[in-house]
Amino acid sequence: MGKRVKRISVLIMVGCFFLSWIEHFVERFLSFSGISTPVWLVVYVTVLLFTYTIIHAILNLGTRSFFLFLLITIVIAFFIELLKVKSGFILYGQLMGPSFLGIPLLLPLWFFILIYSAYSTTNLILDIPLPSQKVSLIAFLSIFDSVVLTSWFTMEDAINVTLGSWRWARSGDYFGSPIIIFPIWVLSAFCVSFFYRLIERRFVPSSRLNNKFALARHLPFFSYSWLNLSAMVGTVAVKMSGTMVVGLFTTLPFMLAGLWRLNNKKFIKEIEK
Amino acid sequence: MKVIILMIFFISTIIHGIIKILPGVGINMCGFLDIAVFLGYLFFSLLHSVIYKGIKNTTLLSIMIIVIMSSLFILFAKFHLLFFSSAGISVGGVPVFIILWFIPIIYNAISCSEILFGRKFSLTNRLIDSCFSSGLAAGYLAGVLPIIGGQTNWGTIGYGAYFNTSPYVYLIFFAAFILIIMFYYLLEEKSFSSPYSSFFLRNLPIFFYIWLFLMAFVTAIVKHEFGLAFSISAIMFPLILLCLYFFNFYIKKNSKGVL
Repeated sequence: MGKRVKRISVLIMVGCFFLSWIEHFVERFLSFSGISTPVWLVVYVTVLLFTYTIIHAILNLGTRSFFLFLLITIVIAFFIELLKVKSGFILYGQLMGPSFLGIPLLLPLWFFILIYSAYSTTNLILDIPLPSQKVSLIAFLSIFDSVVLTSWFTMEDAINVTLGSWRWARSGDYFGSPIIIFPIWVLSAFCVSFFYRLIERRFVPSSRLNNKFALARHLPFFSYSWLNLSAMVGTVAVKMSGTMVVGLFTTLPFMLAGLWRLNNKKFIKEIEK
Repeated sequence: MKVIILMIFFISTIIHGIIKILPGVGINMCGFLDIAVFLGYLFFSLLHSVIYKGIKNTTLLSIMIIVIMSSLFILFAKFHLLFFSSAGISVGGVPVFIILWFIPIIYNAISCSEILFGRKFSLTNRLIDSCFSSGLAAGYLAGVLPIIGGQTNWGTIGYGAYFNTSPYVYLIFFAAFILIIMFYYLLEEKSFSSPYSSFFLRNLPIFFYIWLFLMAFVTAIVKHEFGLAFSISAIMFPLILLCLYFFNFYIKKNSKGVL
């Protein structure tokens, strides 16, 4: 990949990230005003976030690894969603756009955006040389990924149920949502991450982002933090501020650990020397 | 000293466990055991702080906690956000036991953050440290305040979107803790270094917090508050994962903070 192409790709990636902020501002404004979110807005943000994720994943992991990661995510996410929909556990609304077999087509893409963010956040926080070879370590990293991802979902589920993206067949103890969905999210994310990290061992790491500025290199982490902050505001906007308390204290340690790591890169290198 | 601290910690945790678990089988414990646990944790934290931070820093932190938390509680009482029905001795309307309870809560949160992140004195690191510690302490309160309110001891007035408590109380606690810890960091004596190097003793604050979260989780389950129990486990999980990482992968390599 030429230097110029790489530079343009990085610019597009960062541009997509910042353009996606518009959707968050508009959506929160609409929620505060009591107006429902239009479908095109959801499609707009999904396209932008997915675009930046594709570019980052290709530059960071390589094309082959990216496609494998995407394939694993789509297959597992689709299979689990199919089980949930066919068992009548969840009903998707119109807000998520067109669907196939009752599953919104945007959903596997969102799952990839989120799991890739979680994967990158874990790698940033724990800073373990990749790809890790030990299966026990891979299992630990995958658990970490799945908890990072699900921590965001503790807020986002309530927002989506209130906005009408989906509804649960039976309400539960967690602000109206069944608690069992969270272990299901953890399990789904764990499976995707675990399979990918197992396969990743065969590849030589070759990130093309190492010389780029921190925002570009760790964009998925910033995206994860931004999505969390946006979700916190979102919970207040849809009058589900109880979930904000859980979301804040669940996601905060990950966001702070990531920031700490970014702030101390030089310091850590000095210690290692 | 080491043996005394460990003894106090273990006796307090055992009594704490008994108090929390026995109501689940229909046996209610006497109130004095609550006070015994409180005193145990308070003395454990003070002694631990004295050997790892020095007498000056311990005194400074305790004074800051007492002053700022008392002011906050006066405001809470004035705006009817908290009630204190049978919370023991009070001075100027502020319950003494509850204010002192924040010494173990905040000290151990600071220690957890120092164990995980190490001690670094730049302003950015201090800010991250204080946010982490405050998040831990306020997160614990988010696990226990909805339950305490139901026990007619003290708690938030029964309204709000977070298990009948106001979510904003936790944000206020979070901000107050950041204020306390940042002030403490600015004024602390930085040159103090502890002569104690015991791994287990140093890391007791982590066990303290994991134990507190576990007990809050058990209490929520015993009271059939499953939504709250899930929330507590969600808040507790990041701490457990970071600690597992600490204990398993880096402990032999680097004792000056792991992340």
